Amino acid sequence: MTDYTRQLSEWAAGLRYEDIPDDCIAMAKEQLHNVLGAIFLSTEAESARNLIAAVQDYEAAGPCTVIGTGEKMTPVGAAVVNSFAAQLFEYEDWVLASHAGASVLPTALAVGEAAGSDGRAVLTAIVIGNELAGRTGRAILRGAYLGNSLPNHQVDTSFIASKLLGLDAEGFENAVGLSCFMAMESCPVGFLTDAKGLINSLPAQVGITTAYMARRGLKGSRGTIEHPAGYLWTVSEDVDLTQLTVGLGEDWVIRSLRSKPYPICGYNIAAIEGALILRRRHNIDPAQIDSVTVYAPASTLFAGTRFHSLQPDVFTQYEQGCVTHMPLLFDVPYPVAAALYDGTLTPDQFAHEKIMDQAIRDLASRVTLRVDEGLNTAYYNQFKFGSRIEITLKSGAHLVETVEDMPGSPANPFDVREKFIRGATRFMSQERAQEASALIDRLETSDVRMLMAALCR
Amino acid sequence: MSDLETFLRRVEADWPQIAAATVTNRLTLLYGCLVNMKVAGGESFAVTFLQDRLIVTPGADLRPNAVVEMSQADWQDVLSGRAGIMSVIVAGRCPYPKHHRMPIAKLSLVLQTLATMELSS
Repeated sequence: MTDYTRQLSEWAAGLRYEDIPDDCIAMAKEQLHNVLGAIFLSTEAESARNLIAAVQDYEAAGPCTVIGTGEKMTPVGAAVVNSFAAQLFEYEDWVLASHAGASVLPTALAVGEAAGSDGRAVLTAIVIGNELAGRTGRAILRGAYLGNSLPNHQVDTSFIASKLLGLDAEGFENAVGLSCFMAMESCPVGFLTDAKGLINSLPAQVGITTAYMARRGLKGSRGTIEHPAGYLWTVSEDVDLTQLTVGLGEDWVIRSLRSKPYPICGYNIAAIEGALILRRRHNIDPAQIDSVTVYAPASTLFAGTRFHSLQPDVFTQYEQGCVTHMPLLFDVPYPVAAALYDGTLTPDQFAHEKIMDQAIRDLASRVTLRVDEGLNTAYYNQFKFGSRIEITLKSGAHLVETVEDMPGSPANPFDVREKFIRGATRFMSQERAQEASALIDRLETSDVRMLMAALCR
Repeated sequence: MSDLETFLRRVEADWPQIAAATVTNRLTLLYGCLVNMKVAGGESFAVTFLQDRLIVTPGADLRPNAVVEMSQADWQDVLSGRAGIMSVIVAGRCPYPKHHRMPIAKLSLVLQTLATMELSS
């Protein structure tokens, strides 16, 4: 049996900043801008504030920073809170098939801040984290899970923390063996509430904790990642172990980074983009829309109708307090309708008054989803996330827009710095936000404590 | 003929063409799986998914890879594509043991595709 865990541990323990291509470092900075923007735009939401209070209830203060609001916590506490904020509005990113940013960045920033790491060390750890998240995600891609639910982050968070704590390859292997022992999977029903926001937080909690344990000499099982009774085979029915190391150190996973321009499930981004394009191009009055049909890959329907069989329906359950805004982040009809009404899609469109808006709900009820053969093939064969949206107006006019691949893809990037500034200015002046952005861009000449100080009010 | 049987017979007739367009890439793990598709309190079909043919047998197989049992109303939603099997599962009305999870996840994607996609040829 190939010792994949050992190979990955040796690679990660030995990787230096100088070994990483410039374009990959640039992608790490893109990811920082995007995910920090997502955190800024989420961390004042009620459930994020409640989580901060809860962590302060059970933990003493520490050296690590809650982004935006500036509370000081332990590395675990800060990583949990910042990761939760990154996930609270589905506003983060993914590499290959794995939602990496919300586990990788909060872990790297928190452990790096506690350890007093310099910027080069943190950027290196971020690249390592993406590499592990992407590769483990791709290894289990044929199993039952997909997208954000892929259960793989107990590996990447462990590797990041091990790197920043200065462990050697044996230490990495111990840490990941400890981290992966209680293999976490998500319950589908958890996507209805705040629970889903913990999807990267809890692996980060375990990954950080067990790296500290390994640093003190605790032993973890050897070969945990690939072992037939190990992590990947516990969480997935199908595992392709060759994906773990093929092209390692040459085909850098972070080059596949897809950043979200809208707070929504990645499968649904192209549909939102198409709706907004049509609204702008034709100056559509939403009240004049008769019906909307979204054509997409099967995965969009899988996610986008996942909560359409609830009884009572999702809006009634929301009103009853049984669910939060969370299921609407995976929906297609509601966010398409909200985007058509408001001309944008931000976390504000998932605020209480919007969810209660009967006009948006009425339009959502007239949104239909269908699989398109060409878009479906492009998704499965080329990892393209496209959609075609067709709007029929009450006048009889028929408007069509096709988005072949989502904005935020490597070939179709959007301005993540604008997202960062938009978020940061909720906590600081425009000038300070610009300075913080510049600090990210020259992080290798700085250190993470300076960066974290610049990221809060 | 019931809605479920009508749907299955239609798919069965054109399966090689349909499968080529819908059971692709990582969904191919559905091939070789036998799924009991049951209407609660009603009919049942044992359906075997092969690359070159779909075998639809009335009744339930004793050793299926997965069982999908739902009400008539939920089947109508699934066969129309308005919902997927996973939608009904999340709603708490289609329980399954964990070892049935993988074929059900693949089948949910494939059925929703079959229900809503127009084949190009």
